[in-house]
Amino acid sequence: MKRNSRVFVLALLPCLLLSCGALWQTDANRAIELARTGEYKAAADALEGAVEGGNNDAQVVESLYYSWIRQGEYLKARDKFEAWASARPNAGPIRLAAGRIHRITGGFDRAMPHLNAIQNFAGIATAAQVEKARVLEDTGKRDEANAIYKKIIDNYQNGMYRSASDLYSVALAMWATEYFHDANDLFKIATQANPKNAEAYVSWGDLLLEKYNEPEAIASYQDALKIDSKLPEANLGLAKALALTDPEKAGQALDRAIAVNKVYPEASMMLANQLIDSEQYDKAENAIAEAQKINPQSAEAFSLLATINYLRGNKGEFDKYVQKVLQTNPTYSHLYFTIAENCVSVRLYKEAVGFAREALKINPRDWKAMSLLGVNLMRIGEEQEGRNMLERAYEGDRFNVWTVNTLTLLDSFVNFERIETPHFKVMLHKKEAAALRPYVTELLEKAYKDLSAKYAFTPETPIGFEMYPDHADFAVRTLGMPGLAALGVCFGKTLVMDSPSARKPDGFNWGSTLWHEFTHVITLQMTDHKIPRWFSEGLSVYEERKGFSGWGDDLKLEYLEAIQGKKLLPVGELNDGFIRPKYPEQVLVSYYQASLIADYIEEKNGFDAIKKMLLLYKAGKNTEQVFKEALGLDLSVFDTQFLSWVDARTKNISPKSFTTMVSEGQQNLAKGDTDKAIEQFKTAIEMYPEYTDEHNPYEPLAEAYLKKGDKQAAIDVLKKFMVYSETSFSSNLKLADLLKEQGDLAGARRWLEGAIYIRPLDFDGHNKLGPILLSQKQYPSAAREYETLIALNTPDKAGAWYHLAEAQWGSGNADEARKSVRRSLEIAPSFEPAQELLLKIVKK
Amino acid sequence: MVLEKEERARMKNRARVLLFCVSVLFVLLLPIASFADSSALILSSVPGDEEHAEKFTKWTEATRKVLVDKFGFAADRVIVLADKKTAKAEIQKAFAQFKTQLKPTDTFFLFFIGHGSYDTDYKFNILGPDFTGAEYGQLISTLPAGRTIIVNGTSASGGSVETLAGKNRVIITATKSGREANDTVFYEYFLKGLEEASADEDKDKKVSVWEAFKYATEAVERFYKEQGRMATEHPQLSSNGAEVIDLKVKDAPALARLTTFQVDRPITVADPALQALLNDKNAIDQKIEALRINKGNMPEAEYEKQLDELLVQLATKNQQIKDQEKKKP
Repeated sequence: MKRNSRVFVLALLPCLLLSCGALWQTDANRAIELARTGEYKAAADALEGAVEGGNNDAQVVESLYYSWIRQGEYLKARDKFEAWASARPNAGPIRLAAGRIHRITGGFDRAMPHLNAIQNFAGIATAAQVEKARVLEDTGKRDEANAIYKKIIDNYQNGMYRSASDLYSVALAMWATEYFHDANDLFKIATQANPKNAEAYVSWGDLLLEKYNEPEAIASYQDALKIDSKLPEANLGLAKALALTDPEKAGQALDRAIAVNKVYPEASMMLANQLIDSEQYDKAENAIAEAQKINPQSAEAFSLLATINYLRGNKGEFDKYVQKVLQTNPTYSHLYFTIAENCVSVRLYKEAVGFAREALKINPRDWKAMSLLGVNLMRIGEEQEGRNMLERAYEGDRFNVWTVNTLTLLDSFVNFERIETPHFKVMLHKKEAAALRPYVTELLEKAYKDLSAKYAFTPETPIGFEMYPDHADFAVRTLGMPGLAALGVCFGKTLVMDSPSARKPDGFNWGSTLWHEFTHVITLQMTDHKIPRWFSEGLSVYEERKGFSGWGDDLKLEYLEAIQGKKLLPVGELNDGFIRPKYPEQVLVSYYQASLIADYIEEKNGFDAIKKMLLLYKAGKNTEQVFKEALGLDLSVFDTQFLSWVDARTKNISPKSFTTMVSEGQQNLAKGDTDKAIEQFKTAIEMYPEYTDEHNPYEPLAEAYLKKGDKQAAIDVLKKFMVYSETSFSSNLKLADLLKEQGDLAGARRWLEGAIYIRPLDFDGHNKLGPILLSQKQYPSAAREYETLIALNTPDKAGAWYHLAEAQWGSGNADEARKSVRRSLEIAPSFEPAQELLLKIVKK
Repeated sequence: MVLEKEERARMKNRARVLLFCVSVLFVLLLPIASFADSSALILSSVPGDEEHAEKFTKWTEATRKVLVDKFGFAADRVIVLADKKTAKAEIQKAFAQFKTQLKPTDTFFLFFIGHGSYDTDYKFNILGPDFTGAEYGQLISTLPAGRTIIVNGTSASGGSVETLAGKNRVIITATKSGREANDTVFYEYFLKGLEEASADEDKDKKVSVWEAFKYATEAVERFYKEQGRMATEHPQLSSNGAEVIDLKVKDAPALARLTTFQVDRPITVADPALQALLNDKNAIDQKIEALRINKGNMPEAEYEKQLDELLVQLATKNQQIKDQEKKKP
């Protein structure tokens, strides 16, 4: 029966081709176009029949191949192409598709015969050669693969290739043989030769992404999406490229990829990576299992499983997966790179260094691993070796943006001043070092002393501290490229942050940022870096609040909306809020929620419970076990209790009524109805005391009281404001002035010090604080203020030198005082107070 | 009394000595004779909108106030032309008045507050047709004043230097050229420097033209830095017709350094002992000034030693002066 049918079809075929040739060709072109524009199902439906019917045209076959795999029809594609290839051994395009599908589903042995058969097949030979080389690479035969790539490149150089598809294959060969710049050029030429080649744009994007050139990678993926708006590979690339800088958009791109290809193994693997980042290992394993359904031999999947087992401390399983990878491909250094990269994600920098070294043992030319090693050596304070590694990585791959940016930044270190304190190695930019050094070093040592005592833990020293006046430099130091939204980062033994001049005035409080990052030193080191991200961030914000009045995030409007909108996450999923935010404010909401959890635990169980939790994390317990053992609660019970506690704190706040009250208060104040305004502001504060952002009720209320001459009431309001606000420089100064007027110098001093944590490079705070400290005979602190004013190039240099001399004289340092008063009189010889001090010193 | 441009570099110190000598001569020989006085014309441009009107009015009035109340200008020697009064006819009238009022020993101050523009020449925006920079230059040339200080705080004010700079004139502008045409903050800080003691860098209780310029320029730099904005104004100064300079200049020009906003007033000293002490003090002052000028040409330690000795001498002398003053009946 079967035979007869075939004969019948064969007999009719010439007639069909003769009579319907033109129409058939038109249909195929239409189907190819559908395949190229994301209509994969319609395309596959149309093309399957054509190929089944004997159409071996390269474009038709390739379009069918992509239409199937982009819908997730891997197994169908594998079975069909295998069957067709067996039936039509001379159909080159069919055998190429069969070879490709076997390779991406892990059937390397089955791929090879197909690919071997078509190495010289007209029109597809170069693509078949690249495909074969890839199989060889996947199975550890790197030298054989390189020989093929080399031949392709030689042929290109001898002018043998002209077609766009060949040029694309040459680009892939160049990339594989480390001719990165040339590969980049070839992708450009290939896409110019065929502007509709979406695969070439995706590969180009992949090359750029591998080199951390994210903006250009994004542009390349977007070019591919202009051709085929549903292309899963392009959306996946976009998701990876945006993951660090715009996780929300990255999540959307990943969702788009998965919506089209529900079993997309690479997407499952990205998801698994993210789940590992958020320390949800069970879910990560599930995602990997999905990928393995398509490709049970995936080295990347085994690498991720090895990672998970390493992070769980399952050495036996870890070794098993490592062996699985290396048995198939002994040169697969990406195994250790993957583990190292994931170690970085969960803040295990030392371990990342170790795994990057392992990667280099397997493949000393793994420049990406070498770069990762260099960057992480820098993070753990091994600056010289880190630089050496980065320089070697640069010699091997000058295309890697991370390497280049980091080396450029390292070159700029000559512009930094290095200062050593008892526990820190501090690096400040020379242009602001003189002004910042006294405050930074003092606060660092205070943080060390206070928090070490509180947590009963002595961190390993010296701790590196770097402050960058250019935010882009800070971002390069932390991420390898500009675009990081954070203010500070802690690597366990190294703290890196923006300096006050990297941000607009009142944009952030450098003191609270430093305190936050140093808290990470304690919590990371105390748990051997095993603390989950949410808890570490939560404790850092919690400690900010205890560091100085006003520090640390309080209940902002967007947090309130998240709470009232029931958007807080269960503890078990809180890491997702940091890594895969679903709405724009979720990262900040998650910081706040995590800090509230710390507040709640302290309130209910005492601070010792927090210390106990840290020790349990250090012992390798997971969050569920930690909550059970330290608090005696299941996570779900804790979540219920915590959310009810949070709801109780916020249930009476109505943002709408609050905003109305503040607006009306302001209108009444402007109209002169001060009493009514005062009442409205007071009611607003009572309802929502933590609101201190723009249009807060505190500042106009203080103004209203001052209008009525009630300075004490204004002081009380501003003091309350300062409990919650960490960036209001002007209110700090105003409060200090009012307190000084009342003779409360200690109070004035406190708020002036608070002001300097906001704007250390502004004269006003120092000019007001200096005289108070002198009057209180706090000579070393007073000297710090005047040294800073001098460093800031105060217009009143003679005055600053004179007051510095006064402070030095008060400290009993006559020689230094004489030098300083000389500097004052050099500028202003007739300056009488300085003359009097000079005579006093001389007479002594 | 004012040095030529080419002599300035090598004779900075002598200039100060000469100034001192001349003032002492006035004091000793002509205690009742006429003294150097100062006059000022404050021009405020048409504002254009309410926000600018408020700002320009504040600056204009504050300038008048500080000149009269703090620096001792006679009220009838300060003419303010603002808003609708800032028109060609009124300006010409004001210059005609100054022409009769000023003497060769006097200093004339001209303030431009508000909007300026630049095409082929600087224009200060007044009611009706504007005067150009060249026309203001001609008006200034009609005045018999010994020195003219022009403070041009407007947008595009840098474009006025070419036509207003000249011998015995100091011109300060908010911008480095006529192309810097955005609103400026320079004048806000210049005024602050005059109002507050903080611009008086050498604590001599006088604010020199250079000190005010320096104070305002540093404040403008800080303003843009703190705001994280690209600076759209770069103040500059031209003294005695020389090329424009900014704060990077090694030595401040003598004319700008020696001319202060304070009106000179004669000081009469009847007590010969006190006069002798004052003379001694001034001699030490001159030695200190000479030493400072020579700082770069001597070993640091030697400089510090000599400076210390002179400063102790000066402080001691001041103490003696104060003691002597207490003895006065």
